[in-house]
Amino acid sequence: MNAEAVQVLKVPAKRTLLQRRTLRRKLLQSLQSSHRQLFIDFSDRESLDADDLELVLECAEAAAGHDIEFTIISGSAPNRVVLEVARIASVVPVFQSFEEASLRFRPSKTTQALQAESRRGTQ
Amino acid sequence: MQLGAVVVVPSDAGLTQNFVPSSLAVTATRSKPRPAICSPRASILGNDALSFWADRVRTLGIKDFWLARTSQDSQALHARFLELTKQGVEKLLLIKLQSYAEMDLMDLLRFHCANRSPLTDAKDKRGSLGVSLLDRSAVSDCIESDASDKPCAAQYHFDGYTKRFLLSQERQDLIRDGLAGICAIKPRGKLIRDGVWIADDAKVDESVRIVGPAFIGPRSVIRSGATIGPFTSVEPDCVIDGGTTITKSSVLPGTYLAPGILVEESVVSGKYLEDLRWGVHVDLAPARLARRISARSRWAHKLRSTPSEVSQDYVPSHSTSGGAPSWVRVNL
Repeated sequence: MNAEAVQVLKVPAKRTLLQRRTLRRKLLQSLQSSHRQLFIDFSDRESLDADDLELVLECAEAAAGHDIEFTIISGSAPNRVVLEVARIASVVPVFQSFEEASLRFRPSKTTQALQAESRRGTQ
Repeated sequence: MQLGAVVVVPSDAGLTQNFVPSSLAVTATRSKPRPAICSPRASILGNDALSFWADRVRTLGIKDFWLARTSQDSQALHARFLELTKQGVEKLLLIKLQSYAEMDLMDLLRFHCANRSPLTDAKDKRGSLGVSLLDRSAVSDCIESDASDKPCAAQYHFDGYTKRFLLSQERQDLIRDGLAGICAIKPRGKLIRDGVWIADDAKVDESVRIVGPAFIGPRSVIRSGATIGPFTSVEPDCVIDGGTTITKSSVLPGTYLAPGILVEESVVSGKYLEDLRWGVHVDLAPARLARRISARSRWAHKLRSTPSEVSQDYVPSHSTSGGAPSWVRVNL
């Protein structure tokens, strides 16, 4: 898996309504693109709200129609618990960190690709 | 010999700091202060911990006991305790409402008298159970600090069944044992089939799947398509919305759970959930997955239902402070 096949979208800690709409549009566009693996990264979010859950569900639905593996990085144990309680963890793979996710996927190359994409996502 | 009894209920603010031994308090070790999930008065399988201890106190022939809150400052408590000794109380049984222990208080009294120590503290192998017996001379010493910290305290070792119900994991263990018949605490409901207890005034939709052992408390509403159990307790005044699944968990009184959610090995109280597998405390309100049912709506619901909570049997006969009573006499 190369870096081009992986895309990481980082959800900002705080966002306005406009930013929320932009993020949603960006996410849905990513699902249409040629990326094989899409990560939504909630590491900056202290707690997940109803909008986050709605966004994830919308993406999961869109990803189901394409050949895209869609994964969530919860960033913290409380965020992971919220995703489990909302039953999202049973339809979308959820990992607490990129390190944990990289163990699940092909270790060496994916880790590098994820790290590269994660750095790009934060910039 | 005149014996008096005082039951001290920890205030929410002081729950983890003052009542749970630091070696056991998972919640106390976290850097960020968090609201306590398990309240000392929150029902356990429909039972009130206070009524459990009241039953035990009754075996000593005591007609009434005093109920105090730790929100009172220690000087006020001190004054109250001294007042009791002036009224002729020779020995004082002090119970901090923090644990469930199937203890014979008469045996504790016998041990205390035989040992001739002014202070006896009941312990299990993990530490103090919050039950002490004090002679008049020890009363003033004990107020200033925890009885178990006193070097002169005699130790009454209890090796029977105990649980610290202020800790979520132990509370859940107590519920599991109560449902399995391992301990003396019994679900306060009608046994509708093997291992399934439902209170008379609970509303359970026909489509609800209940996997025993499970308990559904008074005035709780379980909506269509929900799955409850096994080893699950839905305490009084809860609403579990349609399609929600709860397993190996406790839902504490006055909690609303949103439709279609999954609660596993957790304790939920209002908007807070403690996941026992991860040891994580989560606020579910921002995600709109749970919330506390307002007192107003609970009150409205109560008016339509028959009151059956055990705690309502213990009506304070005398309150010495205005507003919310913090020192009340309870008739047994």
